[in-house]
Amino acid sequence: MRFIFVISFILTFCCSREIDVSSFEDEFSKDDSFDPLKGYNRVMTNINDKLYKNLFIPIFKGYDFMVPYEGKKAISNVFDNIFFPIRLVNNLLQGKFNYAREETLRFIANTIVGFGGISDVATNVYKLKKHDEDFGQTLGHYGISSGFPIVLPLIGESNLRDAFGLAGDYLLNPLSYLNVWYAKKSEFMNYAAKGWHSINDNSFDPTLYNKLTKDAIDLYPFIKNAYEQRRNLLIKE
Amino acid sequence: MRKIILTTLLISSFCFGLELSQIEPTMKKDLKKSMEIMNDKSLNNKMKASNMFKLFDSYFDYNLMSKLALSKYYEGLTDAQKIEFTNLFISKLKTSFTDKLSLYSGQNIVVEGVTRPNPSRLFLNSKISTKDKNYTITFKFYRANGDDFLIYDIDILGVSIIQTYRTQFNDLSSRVSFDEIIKRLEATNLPDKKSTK
Repeated sequence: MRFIFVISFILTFCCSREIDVSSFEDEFSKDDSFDPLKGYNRVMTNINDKLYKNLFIPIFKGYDFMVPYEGKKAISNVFDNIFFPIRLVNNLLQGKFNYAREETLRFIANTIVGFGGISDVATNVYKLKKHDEDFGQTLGHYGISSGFPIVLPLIGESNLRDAFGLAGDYLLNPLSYLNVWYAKKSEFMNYAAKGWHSINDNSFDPTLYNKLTKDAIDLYPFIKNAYEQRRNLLIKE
Repeated sequence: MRKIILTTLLISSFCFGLELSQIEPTMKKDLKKSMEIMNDKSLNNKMKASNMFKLFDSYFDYNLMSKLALSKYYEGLTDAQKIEFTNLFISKLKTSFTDKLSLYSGQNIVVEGVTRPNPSRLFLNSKISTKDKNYTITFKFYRANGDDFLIYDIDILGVSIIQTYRTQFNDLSSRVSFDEIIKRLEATNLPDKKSTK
């Protein structure tokens, strides 16, 4: 047994190539990022994790059970069409005029031919692509760094720039004005519609959160880093 | 113990690499096969992972991945700790990659081409298309020896697997002992019995 161990050791550490690991260091970001809210962020990540696993995922599963795929897809299409102003304004702010034009054509096609956005004819028939952009990405596009991480209650991982961006998206989101247009003096409709959108979108794969966080050895740094990497890619695109 | 030693022997023996001209055709063939394995309902998850990594083992540089994941902390370990960590981490990587691909079972993975950030690196870009979305997966190769290239990282939707581990291990190593890190790796390697803190 000891002999096998020695052979194994020799093969691994003596015969293997000596790679200069330092040549890879520049490809990975430094891990000592400024995180003044680390203690709070860890606690809030764990609270959100419990909420997701014990409350939200069962709701997503129940919704998924009750609403057929076609129904969820139609509802998702309608919400996507409603969010057109967020995509339009942020594409314009980033100087992506072709994308803004394509978004406008999508909105017209889906509203008129797609029965108010129920059917995504823009994608399926006219081959017009959706170009998701939000205010956090717009700020990033102009070189504003992410700032320190902030974990928001219910919403989850974010950072200073994107949290500020949420305020911009709130103002551009037509669902934020339902109380003005439909339910006078009551913001309940606003939150109900936003909640419905979130439940509908998440019900396409109710356990996605579990699948994505399954690999975590330490949940908070895992989510924080994956979020930052993903956002950086979206900003570059 | 026997299993650990066997794994170590396998890692050291079969890591050959791919010649530059062979990367794209080999990856196209192996990724197609891997999706066929993922879609094979007659295989359980363990068999799927085992069959799939028979395809990839020869050009995944697990030792380098382990070093990169632990970063500066790796050099401070004893040789026995390095072996223990590497073996557990390989198991973790394989489980993780199989899990990620299983999310897209029923779909096809298409190689879209390669990019060369510098002469010693090659990124192979691939895409999985579902009914609603496209998901990008980038396999990152480095020049290991002459014209032989090996994989040292995978980006899924722009998220580097090795980077996420580096951040976690960096955070953990400042708070807990090596034994605790090993315990956590072992816990997350158990099927459906993981816990994170």
